[in-house]
Amino acid sequence: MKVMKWQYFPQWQGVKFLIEITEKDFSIDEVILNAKQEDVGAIVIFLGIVRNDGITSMEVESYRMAAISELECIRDEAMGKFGLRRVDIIHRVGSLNVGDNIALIVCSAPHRKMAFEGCSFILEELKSRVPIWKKEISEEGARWVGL
Amino acid sequence: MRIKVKAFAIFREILGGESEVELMDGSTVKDLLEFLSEQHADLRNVVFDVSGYASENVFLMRNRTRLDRRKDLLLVLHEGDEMAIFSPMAGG
Repeated sequence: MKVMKWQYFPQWQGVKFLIEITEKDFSIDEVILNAKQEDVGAIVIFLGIVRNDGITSMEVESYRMAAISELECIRDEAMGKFGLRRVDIIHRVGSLNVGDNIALIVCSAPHRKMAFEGCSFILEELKSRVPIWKKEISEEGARWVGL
Repeated sequence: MRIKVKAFAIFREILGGESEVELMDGSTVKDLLEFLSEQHADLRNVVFDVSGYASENVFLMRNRTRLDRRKDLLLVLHEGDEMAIFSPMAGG
């Protein structure tokens, strides 16, 4: 099974966990396939998408290297705190439209409670600690989320 | 000494994305904010609150490590430091 996994996605071979900030969209299926391990019984995913609050688009900006470092810290905290086996996080930057994917968090654990709680923890920490910003663009103008 | 300044979100719109400033040796984080406020008229009201501290909407990092907006204002900067200034984070 593991051999099949890497045959499908050779670009991720040797990558233990995925922490990525990218302008490109991502495949949830690929991340989940890589998250499956023999000691994992539950995978919880959070997918953030651009909601239509009367906006036309959204600009997402990051302090890339600092954001990746902080995401790695959060991942390590969550793995220790909730007994997660694996955490993968992808956050998009750039110009996004309503319905586009913004962020993906995939938490793998032996049991569902650990995976749910770990995923929730990571999301809340991400929102408050990781240097990423969203600017909502509408016909009335633009505003930075959180200000 | 030269300090690299990286500004994000609303501060990028005021300061521009990335710049380098020349400060006197021994300058502090607050000195840097004062210097930037002198260069950019729109900045002072956003950066400082009425008591002269950095406002709650200002977040600072020195060499990618978060600073306390009150306790670390008098932190002395060093040649080549990278200071980041940004507004509240809102990822996810």
